Amino acid sequence: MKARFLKYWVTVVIAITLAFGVHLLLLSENAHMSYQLADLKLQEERLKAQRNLLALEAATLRQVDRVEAIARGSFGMEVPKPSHVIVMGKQQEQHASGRGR
Amino acid sequence: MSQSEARFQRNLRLRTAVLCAALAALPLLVLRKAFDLQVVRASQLKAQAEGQSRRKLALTPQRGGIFDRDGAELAVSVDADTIWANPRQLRKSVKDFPEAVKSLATLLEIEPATLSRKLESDKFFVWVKRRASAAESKAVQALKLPGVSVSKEARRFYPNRELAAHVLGHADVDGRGLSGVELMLDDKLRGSRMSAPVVRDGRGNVVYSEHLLDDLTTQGHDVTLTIDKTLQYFAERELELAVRTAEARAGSVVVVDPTRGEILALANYPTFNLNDAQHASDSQRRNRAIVERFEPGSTTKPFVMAGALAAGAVKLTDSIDCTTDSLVVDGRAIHDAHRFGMLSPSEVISRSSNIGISKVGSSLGRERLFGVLQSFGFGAVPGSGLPGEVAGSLRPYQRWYAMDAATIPFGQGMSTTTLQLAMSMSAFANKGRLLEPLLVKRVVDARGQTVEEPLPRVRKQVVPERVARSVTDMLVNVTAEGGTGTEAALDGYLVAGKTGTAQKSDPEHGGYAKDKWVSSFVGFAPANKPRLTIAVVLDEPMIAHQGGAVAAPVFRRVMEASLRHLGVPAERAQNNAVALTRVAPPKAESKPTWPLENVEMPLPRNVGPGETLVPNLVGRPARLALVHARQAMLEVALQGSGVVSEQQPAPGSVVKRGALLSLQLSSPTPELPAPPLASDLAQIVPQPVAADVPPPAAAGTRDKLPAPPRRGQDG
Repeated sequence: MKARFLKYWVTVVIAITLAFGVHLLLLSENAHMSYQLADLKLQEERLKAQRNLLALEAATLRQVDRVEAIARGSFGMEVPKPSHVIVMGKQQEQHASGRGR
Repeated sequence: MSQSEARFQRNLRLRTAVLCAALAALPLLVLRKAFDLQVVRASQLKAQAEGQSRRKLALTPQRGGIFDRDGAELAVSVDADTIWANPRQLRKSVKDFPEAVKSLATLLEIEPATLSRKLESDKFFVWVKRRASAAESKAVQALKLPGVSVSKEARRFYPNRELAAHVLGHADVDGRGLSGVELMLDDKLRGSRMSAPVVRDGRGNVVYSEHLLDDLTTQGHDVTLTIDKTLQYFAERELELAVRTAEARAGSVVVVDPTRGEILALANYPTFNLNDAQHASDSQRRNRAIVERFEPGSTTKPFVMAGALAAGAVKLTDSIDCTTDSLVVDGRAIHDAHRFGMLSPSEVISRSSNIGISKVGSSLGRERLFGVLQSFGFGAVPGSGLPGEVAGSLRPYQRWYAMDAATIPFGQGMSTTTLQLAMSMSAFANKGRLLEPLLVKRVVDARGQTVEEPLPRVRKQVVPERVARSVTDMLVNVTAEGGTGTEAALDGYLVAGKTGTAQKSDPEHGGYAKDKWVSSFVGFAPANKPRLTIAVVLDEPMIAHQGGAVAAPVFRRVMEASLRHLGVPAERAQNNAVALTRVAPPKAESKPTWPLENVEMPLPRNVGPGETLVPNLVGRPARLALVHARQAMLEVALQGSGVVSEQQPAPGSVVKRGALLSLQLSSPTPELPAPPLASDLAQIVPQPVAADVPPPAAAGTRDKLPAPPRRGQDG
């Protein structure tokens, strides 16, 4: 009787200890993942800031006067005369002056 | 069993029983404590724990961007380093405080006395330098001064500098809009400031916050404008050139899509660099196109004529007597530039007869004349929404003097703005419907959802479509041979428009100043299928003052470049498509060659930052050479007259921006024609004219400036 009681008792204690251990493990894992999440968030913010910087740089490089100066100066491009324009089929749509978003 | 054994057995049982009882009691104690913590005092302990670990984190929203109609960035926010200090901590921790202040001031290029005053204060927080450069913040961090920290702060940048400066406006160091769209849509761009609860560990690091995962709600909205970056550039470039060439005080250009009311470009000169707005003068910041009123002069005539035609007061077949030198009203005379004779309504517009339109206005009557002008939007705020926008003045007809009724038909005694003029003229291009100006195309939140998308709104059907068509025909005659606006004519396109030259009032002596004028041109093209309306206004031009001589060329150049950019084919280009299918391509040797294209040019090396490539200006007329030199950011020294014969440095050289480019000009020889170039080709090389294309401006008229008109003259 006593031995049986002792056996049950030990089983219960071990089960409670295991449950507590699992609980601690989950808590620790949760904290770890929270830190990871915070790090990723920080990284996301840094990447966004970098993207904004790059977008600014790209926009600066796309300045119309700069593009025109390069086209004329470096590549010797000229604006076509009306007589050089050949209309083929449907009239072309408006050209985008910037990148598509 | 001996007695001692029996006692041992008894003790063993007792000890076992005590041990079992202890083992049983311990978990019970733990359970009891757990019950106490988790149930009985749960809420109290939870609040206590949260109080220790949770903090409020202020979320600083990023200001939304501003984009042109095709998504090109016009205003963006990027993170910049900001240096701040805790003066108390700094003073307490640093042994040699004056030396620390001195080194900090030297690094950041701040006046040491100013910085010292800041850091000697009793505060816990002071700004040391906001929006410092990366090098400065790195150097400050290297100093490792306790109490001096670097943090990130959003900074507004305008990548296109002066482009659309008056439309965009600017924001202050705290990200608050101060003018233009930045102010108009400040509440949408700014986003919402809010604080989110976060969990921090013992070291103060943020462990987790679900609110941080959804911070998009606080971000400012992105705004897409109706402005076209390229058209805006054309307008600004040509306006600056015109103001400088005509030695005008200022000028403005507005480009509108007449069928939708969208403002595609709004340029003013003088202008300013948005990234350095604090150093711009009031004159540079002034958005003249919407805040500066001027007497429109003859550009009012088409509106009066449209009202008279719609009311039946004048018929297209009528003849108006303009045979006299002057028309005397209330003891004062109204003059025409010439004695015209009998004019048809169309000729009254194309030749810009003041006497003729005055008689048309008189036939309409004061009340109806006032009603017509009011219907076209005069005297009311156009409604673009830009801050500071004003309405022109149009007094109620009951308060008009007799002279007002006679002069208002040719635009004296009332006033308007450049934008208002462009919108009113657009009504003719839009079948007689007056539209509200649209500046904002779309507002999108940080998740990409459209928050606002204004649609074109018709304000009023001002005149019937047939009347709008008739007036358009009259306006086309203005740019045809014999009209006052031949300088606005474009090869291959039908241009409808009207010149305006108005004397400015003299506030010192009363009446009109003899030598101050406002020159304007407003029109649209192609007249048969309008795509763009452009209004050009130059204030106090000195070299010439006739709208047809000063403002019309600006209209032509902006319109030509804009139509090309939009892909609107010229009538001639369509004809050429047919011709090219039938005519064999010319032989190589018969191709016209431009001798200068064969000149060997050094291979350009890569253009570094702060450098520019020297363009080939040889053979170009002086004016175009100046344009190209300016585009290449070069200072120019001119010698002689005619076309460029020599240049120093050589074409293709890479020099520093702002370097001096010496140009030697000489008279062009028939053997050495200038290379074909862009907008002013028609001025250099005569163009063949297709049979079904309206004739271009009469030869020679472009180089001639009309004689100054007599007082009260217009056109």
